[in-house]
Amino acid sequence: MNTGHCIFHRLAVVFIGFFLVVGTALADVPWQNAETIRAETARVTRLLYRPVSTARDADLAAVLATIRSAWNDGLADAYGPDASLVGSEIDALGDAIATNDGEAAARARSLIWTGLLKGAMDHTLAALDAGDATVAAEWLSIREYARASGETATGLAMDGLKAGNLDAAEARRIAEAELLGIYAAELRLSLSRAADDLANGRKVQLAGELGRAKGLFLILADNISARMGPEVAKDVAVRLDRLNAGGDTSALAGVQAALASYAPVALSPDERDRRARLLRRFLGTVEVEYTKGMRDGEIVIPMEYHESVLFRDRAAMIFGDLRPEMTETAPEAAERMAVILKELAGAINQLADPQQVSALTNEALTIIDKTYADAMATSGYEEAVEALPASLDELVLIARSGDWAGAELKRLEAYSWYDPDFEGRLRPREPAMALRLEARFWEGSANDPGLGALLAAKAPITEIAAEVETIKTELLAARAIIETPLSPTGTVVQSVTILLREGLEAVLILAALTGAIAAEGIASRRWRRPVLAGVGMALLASFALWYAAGHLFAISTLQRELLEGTTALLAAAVLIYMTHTIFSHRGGGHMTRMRESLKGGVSTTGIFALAFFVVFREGFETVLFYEAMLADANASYVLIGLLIGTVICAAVAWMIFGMGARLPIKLFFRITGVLLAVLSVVLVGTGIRGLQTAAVISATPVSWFPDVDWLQIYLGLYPVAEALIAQALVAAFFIGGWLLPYLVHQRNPQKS
Amino acid sequence: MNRLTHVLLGAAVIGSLSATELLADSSAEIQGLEDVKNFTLEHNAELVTNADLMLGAVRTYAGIITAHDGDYAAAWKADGPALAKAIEDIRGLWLKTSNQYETMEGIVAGIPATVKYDMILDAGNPGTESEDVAEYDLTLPDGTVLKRPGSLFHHITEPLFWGMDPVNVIMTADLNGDGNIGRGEMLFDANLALGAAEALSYWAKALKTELTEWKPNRDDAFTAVVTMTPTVGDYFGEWKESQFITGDIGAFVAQSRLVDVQGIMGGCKKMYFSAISPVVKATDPNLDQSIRAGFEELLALVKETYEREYAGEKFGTEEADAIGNEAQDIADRIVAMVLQAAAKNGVTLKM
Repeated sequence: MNTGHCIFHRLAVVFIGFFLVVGTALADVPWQNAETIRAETARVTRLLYRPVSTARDADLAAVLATIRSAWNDGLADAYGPDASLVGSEIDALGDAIATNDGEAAARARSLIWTGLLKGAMDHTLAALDAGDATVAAEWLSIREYARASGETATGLAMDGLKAGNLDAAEARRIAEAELLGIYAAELRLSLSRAADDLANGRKVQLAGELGRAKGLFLILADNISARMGPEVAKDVAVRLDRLNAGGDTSALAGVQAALASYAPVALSPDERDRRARLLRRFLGTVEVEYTKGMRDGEIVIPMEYHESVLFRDRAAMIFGDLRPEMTETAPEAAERMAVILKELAGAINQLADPQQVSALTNEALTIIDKTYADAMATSGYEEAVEALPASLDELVLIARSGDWAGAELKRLEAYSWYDPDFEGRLRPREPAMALRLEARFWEGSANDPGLGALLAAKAPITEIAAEVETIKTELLAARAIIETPLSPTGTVVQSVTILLREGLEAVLILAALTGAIAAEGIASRRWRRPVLAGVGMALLASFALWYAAGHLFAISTLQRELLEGTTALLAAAVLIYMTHTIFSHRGGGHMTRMRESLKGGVSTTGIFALAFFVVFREGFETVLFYEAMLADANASYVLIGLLIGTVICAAVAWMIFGMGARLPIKLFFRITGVLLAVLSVVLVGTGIRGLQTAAVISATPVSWFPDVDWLQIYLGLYPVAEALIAQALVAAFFIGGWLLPYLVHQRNPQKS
Repeated sequence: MNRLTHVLLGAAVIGSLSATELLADSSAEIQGLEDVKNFTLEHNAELVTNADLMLGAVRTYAGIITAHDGDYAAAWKADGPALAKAIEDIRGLWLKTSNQYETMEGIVAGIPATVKYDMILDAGNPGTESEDVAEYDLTLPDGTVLKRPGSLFHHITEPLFWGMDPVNVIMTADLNGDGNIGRGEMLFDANLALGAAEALSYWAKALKTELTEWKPNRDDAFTAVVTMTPTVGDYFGEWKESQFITGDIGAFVAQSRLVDVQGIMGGCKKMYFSAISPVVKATDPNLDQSIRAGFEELLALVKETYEREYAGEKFGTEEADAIGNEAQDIADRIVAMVLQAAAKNGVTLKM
């Protein structure tokens, strides 16, 4: 391209970009007119199948007038110069009607609609570039939807953008990826349908599909050029033009071959696994439907036969999405799958023996199971979304039949779907909601008993059913939160929050304790090693357990709760012992006591044990939370959050630790002593609660204690009798064994 | 009034308007769900009435046969006109009964709690099949029990009353008295007819009981539409096949498969317009408008095609195929849009 052309090209791009942005910002998009055009152009092609008659021609004239009016009445202006193709194809449709040319009309119809799709996509992305969610949503009303994969990410992203939970750049990325994916799948479908029409001599439908393929290619051309190379894009364009000009139909196979490994965007691991499962489901259905629909080489149930055709096409569309990735990871499997799908289409078309169809689908299923073993084995959250409401429904049925033990087992099964699959993703985003939902599976509250309490009391079935419905409703709200895409800022904030919520407690305990020890002038070598060793071992153990639970053995939800509860109580026991030993005034002044206690190995062991338990207690769960978060969010932003959280924790530790050098020693000891006593009470509460959710000890809700989210999340104060009694005992122990003697000491220091 | 007061007043007005709108949306949905239930119950009542009338006509037919000790030839000889009249009544009432069911089938088959009734009445396979079996046994007046015999409308009564199953044709009979034995001119097994008609009446009433207890909810409404709308392509597939059956009587002889399509899609449309639209409109009015337009377009296509067929118009091979594909594409588009709406509203689909 020469300089003049370059300048002109750039000016044109700037002009079109400016027009799109300004145009979209000002436009009140008459998207309904596009819908009218889509429906009415389809009607033209149907009318042209009928024999010529005055009535038919009058209908055609009226329909054409409606189409022209819909285009000229606002839509053409909204599209601007970008949509000249649409206008010229409407003229071509008029010519086809005038000459009674069904094939030309079908082609024009397809090019009109795909032209509208292309312009709408350009305007959508331009509006998102300009940060205008409202205009983008209007343009998004003119689009195709995912008919096989059922994707909904763009719709949710637009909601997220409007609500301020997602930034425009991320919404644009999601919308562009989904729309390109859909149009690529539609292009493959059109080419496949065209091949079928060609084989069966359906000329009008062939012309329509070829026109659609050309129009879809125009939408994807830049992407195909970028992903497959300009030569491939040019070759496909030439072949499609030849096909649409009514030339050599053998070019169709060439287009299909050229685009066989084309994918507009790389699939995320989640999307890849979801498609692998869909492919398996569709192929399994093909066999079932075909076997039901056929007997002795004849179609006995046309509906079933038709479904087998439909599901094979769906399978082919999904395989088209998967194929590029599969070609990279398992090229032979990808190649064989393509052949199987083609042979399957041929077998179904020729009404082959059902055994032949079964053999092909079974081979395909084996390939999927081998290639996507992980996706087939577990689907985590998605599986829980389906299984949890079903488990709850079954629970009601079992309880209705009077099988209370069976209903209780079903409750535990339902809970194991909730935690970790739901809770793991919900808790980083809405900890209070996660906590409340968890309580609903167990004892609930005094005024609103949970499922566990209702089943234990063999409550009336209406109450159990009502509680189940409430849980299901809250699960829907939880899903809405979980499934809303996370913005980069949201990701960072949540990553920070996880670390602070799960880690700050350990930081406070260790900083206060070591600060107190250091303030006493005890050499750092005496305590630094056990603290570092305890923290290091706990982190290693957390990751080791996470790995083992994923690869070596299964750890159930209840076992995990038990582990968490037990370690919390062990940490509490060590902390109470050490706090009491170090800060108690009985048997001498605190300095004397501290030094004496630190002389023995018990304290060094105690420091190590404390460091280990307080970190390990939350360590495994924190790893699980980050694992769940990485499934939803960009790893870089998660890492940034993790680093910020670490810096904040370090700053808090430094602040508390440093207070020892700045504050008067007595004041510092009072502050750290009270802090550690409070944290002991917190640990006891969360430990008891852990054992309750592990079903080891009972839970008795009380109405007199406030049922407040933050008290539970940050202070471990739950409105259940067992936890509160244990915490009251610990508090009494500290007050009786430490505060009261201290007060007495203050009043009568000589005696003391 | 200072600026702060203006702002506070404005916020209060906007807040109350939003709250009113939300309440209105919620009440529209509740009302819509109730409308769907009432619509279904009304048609169920008509189904029961017509099933009982058909049972009466079958009893008349069986009574004549019994009066001649089960000798069909003797019965025909003695009471031919009465038997012909009874068969004509039975067929007319069968069509009325079936049409009542088709009108509500889209809803019955889409609701998890009532889907088994759809299997028994209309869509289920015999026990010889591996899937979608109609889970019931049919006990006949002579004590014979038919294990899992398939749906009452399409596997038993329709082929029985129109003589499509030779096993149950007892003898041919010139029902219209034109001197020729045309298709469907025969006497059928009265024992099977009576048992099946009694079962139809029984299961129609059982469905009514179930539907009366049904608490309409959002999940069921979405599930019904997402499950039933795509079946339009299957029905068109059957219709397409039936287009080319010219000589012999094929399946679904009593009436065009397009009647089923109209009934089912009418039910889906009713469900969407009444119960789902208020929910979708509140979160995404454009999407709601598109889905509504999709249903209108689909039903217009079905209606137009049925009217042409009813008027005796013949469809070419490619045209029939193109109409079926068109219907499937519109249905796919509707379902994909309803799935968008379900995701936006956190609806759990029970599929």
